[in-house]
Amino acid sequence: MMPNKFDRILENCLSRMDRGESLLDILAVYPDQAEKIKPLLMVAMLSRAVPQPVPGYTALRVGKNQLLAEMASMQAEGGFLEHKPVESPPAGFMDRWAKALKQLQPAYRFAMLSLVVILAGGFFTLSASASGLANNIMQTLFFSFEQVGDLLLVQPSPSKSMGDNLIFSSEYVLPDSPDNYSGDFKGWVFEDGKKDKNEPDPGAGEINAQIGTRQHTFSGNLAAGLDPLDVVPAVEELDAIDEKDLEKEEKEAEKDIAKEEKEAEKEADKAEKDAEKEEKKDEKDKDKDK
Amino acid sequence: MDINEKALLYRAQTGDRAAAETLYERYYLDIFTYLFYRVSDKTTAEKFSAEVFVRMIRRLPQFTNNKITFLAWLYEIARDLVEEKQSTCQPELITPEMMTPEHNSEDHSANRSFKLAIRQLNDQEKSIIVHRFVEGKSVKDLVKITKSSERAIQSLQHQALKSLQTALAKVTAL
Repeated sequence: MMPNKFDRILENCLSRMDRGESLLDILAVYPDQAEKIKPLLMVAMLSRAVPQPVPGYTALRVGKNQLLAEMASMQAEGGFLEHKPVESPPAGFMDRWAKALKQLQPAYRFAMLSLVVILAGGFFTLSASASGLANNIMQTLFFSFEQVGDLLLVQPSPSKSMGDNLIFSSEYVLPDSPDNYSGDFKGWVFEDGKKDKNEPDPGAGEINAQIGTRQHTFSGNLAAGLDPLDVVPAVEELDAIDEKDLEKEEKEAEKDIAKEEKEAEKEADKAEKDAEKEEKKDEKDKDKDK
Repeated sequence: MDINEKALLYRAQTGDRAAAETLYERYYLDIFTYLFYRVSDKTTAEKFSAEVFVRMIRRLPQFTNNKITFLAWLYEIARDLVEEKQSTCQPELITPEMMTPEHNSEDHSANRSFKLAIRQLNDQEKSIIVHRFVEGKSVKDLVKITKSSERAIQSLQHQALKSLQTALAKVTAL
């Protein structure tokens, strides 16, 4: 028999012995090798039956004290490695989001997740309905999803009719101080972009009168990093500004009327004087003729 | 080697006393048992075990667990210590007097026979008998400790058992 094969058989017998099989059972598996295996297994059993030596408690303590004393002397000499704190790897995008979500209150967390689900659901239902065919059997389902998505999604408020192709440009800058505020409507901005939105429309006054509303534009630059909501005047402030503007215009109108009346009076006086002069001239001419 | 042991070793390498104590308590019995069957008596085994752990803590900052397990490294320290003592101050750790019944009066006869018989084996055979049968380690554990193949361990195990059988026969004949 090959020596390696016998070694494997012996190892197999020892493993069986470890599992608790009796010597007779093990030898019955290899009857041809039983005579050779038996003394070796007996020696192995004797070796396993030998109790493990137990060290004395005092020796154990003495050994530990020697170890600690050696450690103390090594520490004094600086013989140990320097402790380096393990640097955590930089957090990824998803890790940062997960961390931020964990820090939120459960209610806010639920709201955030719901919002994401609603938006994602709305997007998928709309895209699915857009790609649906007329004869598609899923068309009804797509329409249903679309309606649900429309209901769940925030509906924009209906736009007011302010004229054809009228848009509000986001490039209008907001005032950074009340001094920059101007109550004048500077002009229309058309979608085709043909007219410069910064160029005042010549007919702006008429349009203001027709619409009956007042448009506010702002001049000046918005400070960098400033929240527009903090800069936009409140409704009360706008109303107060409107009232001031109205009063100012009324005063100006009164002044204009007074001025026109004065001029009319002057013209009337002048006309009277001219008439008197002509009369006097005519009288002089008549006297000369005589 | 598991993560806990790696962490424990790292802490001990940086001078953590608690970690060093844990390592000592975890591996002391293995080293003591190994030394017990390599040297003359229990007292010497205890003395040598303490010396092994002192050497362990001195060399620990240089230990890397890439090539060898910690226990195998401890066994290497223990083996080197025994060889060193044998070659210098104690050329014969087992004297003929030790093999007499009077010297080992505290042992039972079977244990005494085994102890005397095992001391007649060579280092490799002695190690494998102690690890495999006294400590109850598996062949896979021995592969890690001795850095030999499974087949070599099986072959050595066969040889060690045969040698022990012969040695036991001699001891009982005394």
